[in-house]
Amino acid sequence: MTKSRGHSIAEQWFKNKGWKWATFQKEAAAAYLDGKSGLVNAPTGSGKTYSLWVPILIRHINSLPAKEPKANPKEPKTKSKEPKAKKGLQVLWITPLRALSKDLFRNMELAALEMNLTWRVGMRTGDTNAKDRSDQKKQMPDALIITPESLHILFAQKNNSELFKNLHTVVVDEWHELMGSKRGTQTELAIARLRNMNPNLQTWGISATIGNLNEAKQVLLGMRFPEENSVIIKANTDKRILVESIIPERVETLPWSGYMGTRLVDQVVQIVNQSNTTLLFTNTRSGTEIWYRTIIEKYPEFAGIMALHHASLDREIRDWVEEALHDERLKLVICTASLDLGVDFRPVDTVIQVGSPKSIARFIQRAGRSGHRPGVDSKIYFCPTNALELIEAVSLREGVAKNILEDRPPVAHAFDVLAQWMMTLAVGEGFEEAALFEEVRDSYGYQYLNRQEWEWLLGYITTGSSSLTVYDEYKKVERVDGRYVVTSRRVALRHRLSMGTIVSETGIKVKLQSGKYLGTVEESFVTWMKPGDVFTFAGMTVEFLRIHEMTVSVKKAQGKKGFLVRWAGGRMPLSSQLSTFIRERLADAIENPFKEKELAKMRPLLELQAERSMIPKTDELLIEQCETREGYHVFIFPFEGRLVHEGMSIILAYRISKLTPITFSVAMNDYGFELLSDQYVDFEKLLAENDLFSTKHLVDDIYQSVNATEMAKRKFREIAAISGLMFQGYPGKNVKTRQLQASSSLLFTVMSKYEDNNLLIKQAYQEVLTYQLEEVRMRNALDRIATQKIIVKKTPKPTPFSFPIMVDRLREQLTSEKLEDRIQKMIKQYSNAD
Amino acid sequence: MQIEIRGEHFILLSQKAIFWEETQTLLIGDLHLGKITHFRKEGIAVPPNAIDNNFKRLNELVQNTGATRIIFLGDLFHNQYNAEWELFHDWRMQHHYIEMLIVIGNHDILPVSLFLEADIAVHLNDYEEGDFVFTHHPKVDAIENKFVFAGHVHPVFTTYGKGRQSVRLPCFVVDNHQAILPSFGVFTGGFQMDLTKNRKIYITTDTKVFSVC
Repeated sequence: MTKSRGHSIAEQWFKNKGWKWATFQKEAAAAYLDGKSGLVNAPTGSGKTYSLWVPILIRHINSLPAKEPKANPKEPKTKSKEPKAKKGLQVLWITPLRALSKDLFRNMELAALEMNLTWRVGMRTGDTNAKDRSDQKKQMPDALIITPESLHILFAQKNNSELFKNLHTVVVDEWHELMGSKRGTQTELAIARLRNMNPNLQTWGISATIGNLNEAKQVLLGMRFPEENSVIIKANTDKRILVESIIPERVETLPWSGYMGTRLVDQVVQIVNQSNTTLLFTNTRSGTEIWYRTIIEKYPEFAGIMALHHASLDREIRDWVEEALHDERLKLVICTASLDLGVDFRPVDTVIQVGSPKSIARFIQRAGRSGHRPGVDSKIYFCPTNALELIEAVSLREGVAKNILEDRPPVAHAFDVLAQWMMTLAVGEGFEEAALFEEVRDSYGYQYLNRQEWEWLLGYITTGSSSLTVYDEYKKVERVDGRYVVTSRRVALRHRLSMGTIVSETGIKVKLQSGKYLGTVEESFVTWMKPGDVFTFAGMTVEFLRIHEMTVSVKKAQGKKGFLVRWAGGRMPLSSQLSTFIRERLADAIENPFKEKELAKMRPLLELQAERSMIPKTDELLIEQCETREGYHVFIFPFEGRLVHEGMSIILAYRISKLTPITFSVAMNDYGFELLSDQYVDFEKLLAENDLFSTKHLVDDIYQSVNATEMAKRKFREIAAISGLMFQGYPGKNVKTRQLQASSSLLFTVMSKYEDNNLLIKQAYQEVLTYQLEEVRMRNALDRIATQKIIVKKTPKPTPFSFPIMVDRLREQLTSEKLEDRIQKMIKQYSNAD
Repeated sequence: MQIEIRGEHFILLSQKAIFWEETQTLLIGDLHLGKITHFRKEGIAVPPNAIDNNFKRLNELVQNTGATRIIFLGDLFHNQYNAEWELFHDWRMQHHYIEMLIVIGNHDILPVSLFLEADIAVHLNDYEEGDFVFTHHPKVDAIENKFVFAGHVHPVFTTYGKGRQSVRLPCFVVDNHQAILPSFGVFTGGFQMDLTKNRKIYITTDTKVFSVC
């Protein structure tokens, strides 16, 4: 094959850079230039951007008339004439993070310049200012880096099909990250639209390694994409990952429960001191603040060389931290998932994970944030936050060694995202429903969407009810000449302002007196603060001065210890892969306690567990019962991970509650779950007479038990916001919208009570069933329990296993008692107490 | 549940209203009629069927108590005029034999003439009768020798029980100088109240009122 002009220029470019054109990059280029679509599976730092950007440039060069670019390749600034016909937007590069876009932009533009091309690269994110936006409206760049949200906003413009007229390629960066979220669904819908406009559109994703790469490819390409036109190209990376646990001198150093891990601060600092630059990952934003404070108190010399990074910090602060990381000005950055993705920070050579990462894939990804230099290993330390996590340390190491990777299941049937999308299109150019129905069904997440559901959604956006005969003044989308359009400017504006799928609690800005913004805290945190109260935020101790128009003014407070800011946030469940390892290791801990050093350390704790209760073997299921001031506790330890326990606990509670009027409050962690009641339950008798762990009527019982709890109501919060039921307000005009605010739980109550078959309510239940109570997983667990010997132990006190669950305050209630009876009992306790 | 205030008898009803026996008067707070339609007009699809529930419960109340008078403690109608007012107007006309009066709340921005036309006496501020004051906003300080009935806050209370149980329900809040009614409207939220000294809380389910200590 003779080399094309573009190919030679690219080859020369790699040579000039002193880089090797890697095999996977060449393969990707060949596939792309062959007109194929697909996935590039490569880790960060491997040159994955160039694997697709270079062939895109080659394609461009080859499309140019023969004379121009080669004339004088060494002189980038020659005033070559602009190509006569401006083609406008040809390439979309979708990225999940605004922070990534800047770096991408730099690299992509530089490569184009160095190849002496007059190609314009642009950026479009929530940060893009009005001038750039209007410039883009006049003349789109040739390639645009964009977030899924901003892409949707383009579709809300009047003339958007004109914009995308010449688009031939879409690249989605970090697709593994987007795919499992509703932002992924957003991306799917947008791509389905673009593919409809141009059937020859080439779509490429860049993904880290996940368990379901093939599925990831199909989600990206849609249902009708011909398989033979698609490929997965894998980078051959043999980067080694070294896993080391931080083990306390004595197991007593570690608490039985908790998730901060600061007791190991000395060992952590030692590791930091031995390294060049360290990233310390915690699972929560509050965790970062606690670690920062703990280190600065004990090791004041870290002032100035340590920084914080989490999603509630002001963009400017985060940018500064990222810059400083690049420039090797920081020794330690304490961060959350906010630094999971993104550009490579070359100075980073060590990563510390505090607390369970919950999945092996996430652990590996974080490990990959270190050691970017070729030939350097990635090194990650695991810092347990409680004693039982020592078992996890062993399991993680094993998971990494065996290269176990979890799946990222894509989101399906998100009616909220679809309702928003329909609104977006109606605000933009409007849509013809039959055509859109087909287009939407081309996307993976809506492949099973049926006519009835579609018509409900059409009703939802036009008449505001499932019945199409309406008498009132509901107004949103109208039908004009067979097209669904929004004519009201106010409706359009309000929709544009509330687009997106990331739902957060109302953020209150925190500002220093000097005017510098620190970031945001949640409204619920601020409501109970008084002037003079001190709290820790952004690594600073600050004093609350006043709150005015959604902004808290603070000043620096010296030497005082204050409150910790807390943010609401879901708890990640342990992946089933990781929980399998944990079950096995636990059995190991009894049988071969000295096989692993972590398990040897745990010995005193396990001995105490054995003394108070027992340690179950793999063929045994342990149930503990004990009574405390709080009531009667039943603890069950299937070691199946939080997700399974959540479902199993409410099913068990439901099944028992069918036998007798009783109320349970249930809690769970990754090891087991608790049923707590104000009544004693004779569990042995109950088990002898009933098959509580049966898989019979499982599906039915799952439905019934979800109905009996508030799980769906909580899921509804996000759905209500995405589907446009909760208007967050116009920027800077908070008061005006108060009349239009109703809590999602009120909406949930009213909608489920007064409207049959509301799809959004249905979605809330479906999300619980899919993400929290997945039937298959539960069935497997129950089947496994059926083979186990059940042992009930009555313990005088909580045990090392049960204590962490007992102190958990996040609880679900399930009852079969009459409300009035329950209240009678509660009130009696009040008067007894007095 | 009956309570005695200044020698008069008041029944706290699970329909979230108070019946004043001596004067055969119903006290109703925070109906927020029109709110559902208001939301719907702005493109928020609250199911319209819910509107009927308010009237259903009003009918029940009037029939069960045989009241000859209703005092609305403000926020009868949520903001601007919409079609729901006509539903209310019809309902009012069906109950023309009942005397009705309203003390205006912060959401009652309809022209006074509309209320008058519906034969509802309007009190822009407080309405006083004997020892009692009827108003929308609860009073921060006690009024000497008077007892206040107010709405506005939509009080709810959470009771806790053994076994980490809790239940959150609408409530009546009664202290020495004032009673605050739960909100009546089907589409209204709630504000959490605490127990304090000299304050009695009565929580209500759909069928029964309970006194919390």
